[in-house]
Amino acid sequence: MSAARNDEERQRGGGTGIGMAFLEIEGVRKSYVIGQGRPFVAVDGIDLAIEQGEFVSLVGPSGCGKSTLLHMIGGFVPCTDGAIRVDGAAVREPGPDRGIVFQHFALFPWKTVRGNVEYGLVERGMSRAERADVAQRYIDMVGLSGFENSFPNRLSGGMQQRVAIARMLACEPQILLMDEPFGALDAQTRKIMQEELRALWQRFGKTVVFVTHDVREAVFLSQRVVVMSTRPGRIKAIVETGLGPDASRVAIDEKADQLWDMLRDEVVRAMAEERSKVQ
Amino acid sequence: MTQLAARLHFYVPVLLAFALWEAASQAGLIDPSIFPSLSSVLAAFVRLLTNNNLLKHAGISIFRQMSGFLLAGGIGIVAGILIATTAWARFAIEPVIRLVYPLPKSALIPLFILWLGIGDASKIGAIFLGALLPVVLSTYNSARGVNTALVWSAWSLGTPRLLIPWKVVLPAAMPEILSGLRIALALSFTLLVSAEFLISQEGLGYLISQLGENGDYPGMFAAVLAVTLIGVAADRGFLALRNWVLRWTEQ
Amino acid sequence: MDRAVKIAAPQPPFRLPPAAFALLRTAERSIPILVLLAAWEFATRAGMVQLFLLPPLSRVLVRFYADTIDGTIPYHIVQTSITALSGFFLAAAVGVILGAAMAVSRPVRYICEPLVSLAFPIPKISFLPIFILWFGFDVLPKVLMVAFNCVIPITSATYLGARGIDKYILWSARSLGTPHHKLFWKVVVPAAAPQVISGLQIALPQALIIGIVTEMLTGGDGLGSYMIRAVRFSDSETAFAGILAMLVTGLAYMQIAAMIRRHVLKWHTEAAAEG
Repeated sequence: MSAARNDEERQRGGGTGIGMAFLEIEGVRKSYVIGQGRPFVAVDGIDLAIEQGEFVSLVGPSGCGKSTLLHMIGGFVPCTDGAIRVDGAAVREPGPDRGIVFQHFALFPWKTVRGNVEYGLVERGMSRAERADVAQRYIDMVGLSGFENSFPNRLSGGMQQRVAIARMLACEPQILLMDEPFGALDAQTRKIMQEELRALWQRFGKTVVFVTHDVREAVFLSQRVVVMSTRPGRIKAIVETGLGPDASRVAIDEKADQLWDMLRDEVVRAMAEERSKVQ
Repeated sequence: MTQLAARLHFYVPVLLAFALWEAASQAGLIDPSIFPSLSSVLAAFVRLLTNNNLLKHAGISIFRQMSGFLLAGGIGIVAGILIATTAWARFAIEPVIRLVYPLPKSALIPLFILWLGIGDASKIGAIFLGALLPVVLSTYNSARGVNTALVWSAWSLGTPRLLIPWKVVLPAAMPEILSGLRIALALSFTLLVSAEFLISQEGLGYLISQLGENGDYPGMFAAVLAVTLIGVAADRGFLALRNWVLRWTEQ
Repeated sequence: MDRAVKIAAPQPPFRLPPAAFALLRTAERSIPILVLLAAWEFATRAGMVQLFLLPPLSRVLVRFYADTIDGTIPYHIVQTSITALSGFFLAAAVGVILGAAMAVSRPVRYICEPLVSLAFPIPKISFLPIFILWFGFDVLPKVLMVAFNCVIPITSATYLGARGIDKYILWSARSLGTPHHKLFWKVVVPAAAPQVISGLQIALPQALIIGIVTEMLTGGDGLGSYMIRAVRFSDSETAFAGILAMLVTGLAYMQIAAMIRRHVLKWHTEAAAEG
């Protein structure tokens, strides 16, 4: 992306009118053509402005398109309509500036932990010595010192996800995209990972877009929670959690209950639709 | 049971079968004129080895089989990955594969004899084309089944799009590719022997039919035994290679 | 046998299209094939390829049509099918029983597992001269060779299918009051069925391949002999007609097998997706 183009896009500004946000999602729509040529709209008319350093969660029932939206921000899936901009520049392709972790870790099973964490650095052309250094730093940071030469299939779920996070962070992305990263972990590991993720975020101040089913997890981690409705996926509400890092468990639970009430209707509606589809 | 003991126990039933064979021959339970005793077969085996016939023919057969198989493996894997990852390749080639899939591979043997004569080329050609399809299909299927998240992770970490099939899809699909290769290996031996039975002037297939025609049945059985041993050895060798390549899947 | 390998159901290449949309897709998929066939015809007519190596497609089709109308090809298809299917069903009977026995009885497993595992990579066709020595040149050695070939994958698939049954299904059935003697037919057979049927589906094309090869080698009737005779007389048109006949036969076998699978395994998620 040339500097001249960057400036041009910056001058054109965003549609929100509030001034340029770091991550802008404007009028985004995604539809697929399935089966007998009928279109299926996954998400419709999404407008969202995310500031740099914000931690935002997307919650909603299955099929509400939250993962689809995340994938579009990542550049893996093109928008049918609308635009997504990061720091003024339109998103076209995936890249190390938007790191991603997935629910099922997506580690390269044929590479060791170090091999995985170094992967993005290799693509960048970093020298071997520098790579080893950087990788070691992040491996230590996620608490996996000593496991550098292990293969992923010997690691537990929680450890694998730490490798995935280290792999993403090693490339120093501007935005972290997390697609239900703790969904495949048991509840106890999940709690620990949530706390560690929040600590990491507080330390580095990165922008995070976090997709989850778990409302309490969303409240615990984020500053804003976007509640999505389903079929087609739309933003139902955006709620400020307004909770500081020392928020009490009671405050978190209260907020979570409030959000869950909002979400409940959507989930029930989605389940009813599933039922009618099978019949 | 230790690993070594388990390995040895594996061969006990085979040895038992051989022992039974010899015992039945000695006891006169089987007609030696059409079912020679194990001892006479082994004696014939040694005989064939020492007057060089066996090694020469085995060498030729193995050369043909390996050429066809390695060609099919190399080209098949590349083609399979390409078809799985490139839209135009898939459009052009997938229908052709699906059309040719039901054809019994042995149909190709007479065709290659027609085209390439009775020497090495026709055998290698038939083996190559016969083994190609299973390799392409297993590669294609396993490549299609590679987790999208793996591809996207590599893409987001900066791997150029053109390199992704080779840096990510191929290693990820390796376990299934190797299973397909193992089947193609066994198939290549079947095609080799069939072709050499049909028309050949050298090779183990030729040797077997020659010995049969001359009435040297212990020799014929010995040659069949040789083919059997080579097939098993190749398979075990392939397994060892596979386990080495797939070190990362060890639990 | 190495650790349990899930045997996936082989997919038939063509699906009978119910809707017009699917018909259109099939038409689109046929384009590369039609291009190839057109190239074939053009290349041979333009004299770019020696005629005896690759006869024009049109002449092959004419020969195929002629030999089908006068009953030659159908006769040979039937002959090959008799050989192949006899051997196949013999192998199926022996293989399923043996595989089940292996799953149930330790001594049987101890003896048979290494033998089956070692038998997999052996080119069993190499035993044909021995079979001919023992059984003559008639149909019997062919049928036995087919059976010998097919019994190995069928036994293996049955054993793995029976062994790989989710024990929680069995426990649920027992806790729901299924008497022990009914467990086999009510639970074990249906649970093992997908993998067993996959094994049968893998073995069926093998039966055809081996049947054809034995015909090529022992003469008599059948598609194999039809083709070998054509090659011996350098009659490439008939040889290609033979290939077309084999292709059609192979395709028919696969479709029938897939239909039977879909019917028997109505409840299985994979089969439901195919259907």
